[in-house]
Order: sequence, then structure tokens, then C-alpha cells
Amino acid sequence: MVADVLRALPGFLALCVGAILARGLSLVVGSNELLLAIGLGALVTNAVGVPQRLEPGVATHSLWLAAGIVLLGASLTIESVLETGSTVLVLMLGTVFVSLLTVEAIARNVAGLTGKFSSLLAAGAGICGVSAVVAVGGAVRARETQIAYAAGVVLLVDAITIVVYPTVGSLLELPANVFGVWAGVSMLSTGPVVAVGFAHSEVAGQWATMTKLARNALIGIVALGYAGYYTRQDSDASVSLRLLWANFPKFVLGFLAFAVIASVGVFSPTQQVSLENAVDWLFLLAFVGLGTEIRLDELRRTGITPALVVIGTVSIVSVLSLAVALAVL
Amino acid sequence: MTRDPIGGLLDATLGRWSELDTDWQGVLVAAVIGLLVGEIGVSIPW
Repeated sequence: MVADVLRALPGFLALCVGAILARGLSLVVGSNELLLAIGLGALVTNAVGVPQRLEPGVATHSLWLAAGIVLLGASLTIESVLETGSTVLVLMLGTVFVSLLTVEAIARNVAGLTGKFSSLLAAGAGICGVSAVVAVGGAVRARETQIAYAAGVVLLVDAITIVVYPTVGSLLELPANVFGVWAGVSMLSTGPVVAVGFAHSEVAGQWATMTKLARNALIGIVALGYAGYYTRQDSDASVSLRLLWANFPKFVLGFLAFAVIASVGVFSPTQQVSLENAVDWLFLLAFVGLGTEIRLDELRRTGITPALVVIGTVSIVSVLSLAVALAVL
Repeated sequence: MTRDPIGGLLDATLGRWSELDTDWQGVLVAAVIGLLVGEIGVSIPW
């Protein structure tokens, strides 16, 4: 097991170098360090590729994202978490519902895709990107090629939204809370949501993360619903609960635990600053690694029809959710 | 049984670690950082 750590060490050090480079570059060119981190990762993987011996360490990027989100809870209080409140909750649930239905309808009736593949795309667009695709794919026993294909579509849309959302947010001069909630309810994967949120502002990043975490918490319910739909069998309660728990993103619990701890004043203001700095470094590590997942050759192979279904749905949901967010927030 | 108790302990700990999924690993990393900052007073610069 020590060998596993040693195997991951070179790649982890590469992430550290990328994070420091992104931070340094942001000071020089004045761009956001998180977007630069993603750009650096994408540049390396598409220009020269990630060397095989760095791959185990680079693959740890999802761990640093989870740790960063958990620690982010310490910069919030439980009151501010609850303040996201019923309005944002209704907006989020409405967006998930519309996304699922729209992808299912277009994919099955217009694009002529198979039922399970349509459901994988719907889960990816409606809940939380690749994680939802994998969770629902496992629950409905989809073919591995379908899961890989749907995950490719999600990554393609992620790559587009990482560029489009900050541009639109800047052009429309969206307020921080509106931008954060908008990104949280309508973008696909958690990493890009957090990245564009904090690229806009600290406040937008917090809103984006909280909204996205609430949305991610629905993953188990959606996987369970699809499993029930496709098996058309009554499953006993223990199996259902097990499926719900297996698909529940556990770092949400850590996030809430840190929010509670911060609410009772465990951390001093100086310690809060240190924890916020830790979050920034963890996100930088995560986003350098996330950038290496954006492989242009794989995106090209994904094919145009499934991608158009999801891009069309995200566009519709994005416009609708932004209009509602501007009206009610 | 291993003759090297420290190596054995390390192996057992890391063995459990690799059994955890990424979410729980993230929670534990965050908890360690929280303890280092909150209890030991480690300062993290930016």
C-alpha cells in the first residue's frame, strides 16, 4: 500500500507544479487562476500527453476537489447555508425536472437514441455530470460503451460551459448570487461549476457550490427512479436504501459538518483565512488534474447527435434558469 | 505478522485508506487540514 502512495507521488508533484504555475501566471496576466489551472492541464494533455508514470497521481484530482468542497463549508455558517432557502431549492428542483424531461424527450423522439442511453444523457445533464452518468449507468445496467459515450458528451459540454458561462456572466454583468445560482443549477459537473463560480467572485463561488451540492444530493433518488423504471420490479426497502446511500455524494456531509463547526465559532478569523487558503490550493490541484481530462481527440470521437441533444437542453435550461434567477433573486 | 511494527501500522492504515471511496478520502483530508489549522495552529499562506 505504501507502494500506491509512492506511485501517486510523481503525478501529485506534477499537480503541485501546475497549481503553482497557474497561481504565478494569474498574478502576471491578471486572469483567474482556476481557469488557468484547467487550461494548463488541458494544454499539457493535448500537446504532449500525461506520461504514464504521472497518471496515478494526476488521477487524485477528484480527491482534492472533494476535500476543497468539504473545507469550503468552514467559510460558511449554517445560517447562510439555510439562506439558500426555498427559492433556490425550488429553482434547482425545477431545473433538474425540466432537464431530465427535455433530454429524454429530444433524445428518444427527435434524435432516435435508445432508452437507456437517453437516460444516461438525461442524468448527466440534470444532476451532476459524469458521476450521475456512472451512477445511473450502474443502476440500470447500461453497456460500458454507452456509459463511456455519455461521459464523453458530458465532458464536451463541460469544456464549452467553462468558456461560455464566465463570458456571459461578464457581458451581462450578473450579480454574484445570480451568477452562482445560475451556474449551480444549469452547468453539468461539479468541478467546472466551482471553477467558474470562484472565477466570477468569492460570493458567486459559494452560491454555485451550495446550489450544486444540493443538486448532487438528488443523484441517489434519480438513480433509484431509473433503476425502478428499467427493472419494473418491486425492490425491498433495504436494497433501495443501499442504492440511495451508495450513490449519495458523501462529501456533502463533510461540507455540512464543517459549516456547523464554523457556525459555533471553533475557528478564529485567522484560522478561517488559513482554511480559505487551503481551499484555494486544493481547488488549484483539482483543476490542473481536471484539465487533463479534457482530451480533444476523445471529444471529437463522441459524435455530434448526443452532444447536440445535451447542448440544446443545457441552452434551453440555461436561458430559462437565468431568467428565473434574475427575476426572483 | 510483520516484524516491522511501524511498517505494519502504516500498511494497515494505508490499506484501509485505499478501500475508501474518493468522497470519504476527501472528507478525511479536509478533517486533517481542519485539525492542523484549528488545533495545532498551522498557517496556510496564499
